[in-house]
Amino acid sequence: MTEKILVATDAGAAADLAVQTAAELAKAEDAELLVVFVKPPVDAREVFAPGRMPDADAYLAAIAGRFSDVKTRTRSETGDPAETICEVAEEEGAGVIVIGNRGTHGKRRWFLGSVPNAVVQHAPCSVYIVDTRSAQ
Amino acid sequence: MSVAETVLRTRKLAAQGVRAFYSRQLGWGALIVTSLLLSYGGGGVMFWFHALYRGEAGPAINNFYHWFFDATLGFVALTPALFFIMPSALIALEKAHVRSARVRATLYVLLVGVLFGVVTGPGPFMHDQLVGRDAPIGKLAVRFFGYNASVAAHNAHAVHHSALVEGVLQILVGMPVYIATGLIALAIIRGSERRLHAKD
Repeated sequence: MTEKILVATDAGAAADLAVQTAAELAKAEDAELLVVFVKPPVDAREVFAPGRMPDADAYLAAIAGRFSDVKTRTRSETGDPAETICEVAEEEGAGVIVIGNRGTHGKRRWFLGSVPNAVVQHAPCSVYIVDTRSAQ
Repeated sequence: MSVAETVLRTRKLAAQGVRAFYSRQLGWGALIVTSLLLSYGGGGVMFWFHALYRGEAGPAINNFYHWFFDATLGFVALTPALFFIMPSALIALEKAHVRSARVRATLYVLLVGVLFGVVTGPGPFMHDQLVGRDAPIGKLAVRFFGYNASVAAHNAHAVHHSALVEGVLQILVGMPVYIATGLIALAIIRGSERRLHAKD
């Protein structure tokens, strides 16, 4: 039985699908849900599309209210997404990492790799990949 | 932290920053648009400055072809430099904790323009060695674009400046030019982004 479920999000629609799935899992397992927002070191949107930058604080603040029947906690980190997710999972002793499958298909996975691919390879615990293509 | 640790940490941050910047299509689009504008737009101003205003002239081809040829070579040679300059500028701003979006955009344009200007410093020297009047590629350009007699006549009065002087001028004059063209590139990219995502 898993006591802590970590779900990574960039506050986008696809990641939100993973958060919802993680909340359902946490409820079924009576586990704590840890929602981790990872801000990458740089984001091209900061300069070229500042209006499209996610409001991480508002997104995380709404988590407790959205999943009132689940014990939730949030963290906001900055760094390489895959590396940070694995570090936080190890630090928190998470039993499962829940992550969307964005970037695991198409040309991108060969050239740039993808966050879920990297997490699967380096995670200190089980990884649950949610099919978020419908939200992409 | 030791010097070695600092160097390793900086390299890691730089690699992560480059990777993060180009993890979005927006990063690649920004690179192409910025490089096109700096090479052809900024390059056009610098072509006028060196070849016409400073009187250095060049191969005996029409001035439009000369600009286009030089700008294309510049685009090919300098896009790899810009590939690293653009995310590096963002990393520097992130390290400086610049939070205001407007200040960040302004400083970004300044940083990219200055760094790009510095990188183009050796340009006049490289141009003369490779593309100048009697250089191999310069002669190829004449064969390809056609000999222009009036430009050739004007070349008889060409002025030769030292590579050092031209290099320094390239940087000093180039920086404000590339900052201005970088600002135009930013406006174009932002406008395109807004149109692309107007339905969202």
